[in-house]
Amino acid sequence: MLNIVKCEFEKLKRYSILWTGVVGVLVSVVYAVLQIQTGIGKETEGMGFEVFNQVVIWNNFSLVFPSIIMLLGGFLINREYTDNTLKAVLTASVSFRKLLFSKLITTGILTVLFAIFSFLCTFIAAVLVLHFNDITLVLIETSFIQICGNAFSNFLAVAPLIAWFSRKQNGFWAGVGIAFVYGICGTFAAGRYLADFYPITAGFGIIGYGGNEGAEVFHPIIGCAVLALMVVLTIVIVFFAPPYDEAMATPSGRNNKKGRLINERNHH
Amino acid sequence: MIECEFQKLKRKRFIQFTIVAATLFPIPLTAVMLKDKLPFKNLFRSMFFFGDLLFLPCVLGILASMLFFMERDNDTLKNLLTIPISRTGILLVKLLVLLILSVIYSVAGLGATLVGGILVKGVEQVPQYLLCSIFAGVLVFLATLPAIAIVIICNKNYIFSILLSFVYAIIGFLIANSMASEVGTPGIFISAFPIPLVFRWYIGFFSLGEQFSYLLPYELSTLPVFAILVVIGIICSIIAVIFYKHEEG
Repeated sequence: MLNIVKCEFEKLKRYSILWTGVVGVLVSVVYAVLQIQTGIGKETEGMGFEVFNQVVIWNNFSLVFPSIIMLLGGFLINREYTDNTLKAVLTASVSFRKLLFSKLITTGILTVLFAIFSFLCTFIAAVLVLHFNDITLVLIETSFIQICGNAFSNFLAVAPLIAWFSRKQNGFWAGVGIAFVYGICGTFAAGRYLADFYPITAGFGIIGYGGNEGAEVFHPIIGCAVLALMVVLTIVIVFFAPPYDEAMATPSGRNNKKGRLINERNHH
Repeated sequence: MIECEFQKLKRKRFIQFTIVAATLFPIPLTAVMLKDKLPFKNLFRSMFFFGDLLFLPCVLGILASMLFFMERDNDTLKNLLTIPISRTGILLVKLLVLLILSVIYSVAGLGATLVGGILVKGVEQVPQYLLCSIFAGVLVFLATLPAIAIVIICNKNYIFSILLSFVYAIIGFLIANSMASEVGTPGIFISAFPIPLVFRWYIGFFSLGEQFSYLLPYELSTLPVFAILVVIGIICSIIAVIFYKHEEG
C-alpha cells in the first residue's frame, strides 16, 4: 500500500490540479483578512489572532475544503479511467479496491499538506498584514492543530462521496457540486447546535473550536462517533466497488445493445 | 439551433443533476427556517443568496465549459461550420442556451422553495417571487458572462474553467456577503462587481425593512442594474466572439 501511495505522489507531479488547492486556500485566508480588517472598529473590536484563526477555519470548511478535497480525490481516480491506465494498474496485480484505498490515503495526505499551507498563510497574514501583537507560541500551536484537524475531519466527511462518485468515469464532477453544497450547509448546522451531528463540522469538538462566540458547546464524543461512521461508510462503499469491467463501461456503452454485448463478452 | 443544442445536452447528465440540485438546496434551508421559526420571505432570501448568487454562477461556468469544449473534444465544430453556420452564430446560440438554463434553474429553485414555504408558512405574492426568480436567472447569467468569456478565450481544460468559475462565484458571493452581514463595507467600486450588483438589485426589488437599514446605501433599482449588466454582457460577448472566430479550427 505504501508503494502505491508513493507512486501516486510521483504521478501528482504532472498534474496542475494541485493549484486548485493553493488558490482555494489563498481565497479563504484573503477573505478572512478582509473580514477582520473591515470588522475592526465595529462591534468586533479587539479581534486578535485567535479570532482570525477561527474565521479562517470557518471559511475553510464552508467554502473551500469539502469541494477541493472532492475535486482532488475524484480527479486522482478519474485520471486512471480517462488515461486508460486502470487496466495497466490492475495487471500489476493491484486490485481496484486497493487502488481506491491508496487514492483516498493520498487525498488525505494532500488535505493535511494544504491545511499546513493554510496555517502558514494564516500566520504570515496575521504577522505581516494584520500586525497582531497577541501571537504567542500556545496560540500558534493551537492554530496549527485546529486548522489541520478541521481539514482532516473535512476529508473524513467527504471520503464517502469520493469513494461513491469514483465508481464511474467522470462521476466525480457531480460529487464536486454536492461537496460544495455539503460544505455550505455546515454553516447552518454550526450555528444551530447541530455541529456535532453534521459530518463537516463534527470535528469542532475534537479540535476545540471556539464556535459561535462560545455560545455553542461541542461534544467531542459525538463528533468522533460521526466521523467514525463516515470512515465505516467509506470502507463499505470501497468494499462494494464494482468490478473492473463495470467501472470502465461508459454510460452509452451500458445502455445500448452493442455496449451490453461488449460487457457480456468481457465477463465471459 | 437552440433545439439542437438542447438535443445534445440530453446526453449530459450534469444538466439534469444541476436542476435536481436546485430543487434540493431548499431542503436544508427549510429545516433551518423551521428551527428558527422564520417566514417564507426569509427562506426565499436564503435561497436567492446561496442558490442564485453562489451556486448558479458555478453551475453556469461548468455548463459553459461543457457546451464549448464539447465541440472541440468531439471534433464536431468543422461539421457545424460546413453546414454552414458561422462561429458567431454557434457562440451566440450556446450563450442563449445558457441563459435559458439559468432561468430554468432559478425558477426550479423557486418551485422547491414554495414547497418548503408550505411548511414554514407565510407564502404570499407568488407572482412577485416568480418575477424575481426570472429576473435573477437573467441577471446572474449576465453577471457570469465575464467568467464565461474568459473560459472561451483561454480555451483550456475543464479543471481551469471550473476553478475559474468557482473563484469568480465565491469572490462575488463573499463581497455580497460582506454587505449582507454588516461586517464589511465594500466601496462603490467593489460593490459594482457583477455578482454583488445582482445582490444590490435584490435589496432594491424587495423592501427589507428597518432591520436591514444599513443596506439602504447599496439599493439599486432594476433598470440601472439591468443596463450595467447588459453593457458588461455585450462587451464580454463581443470579446468572446472575436477570440472564438480566430480560434484554430
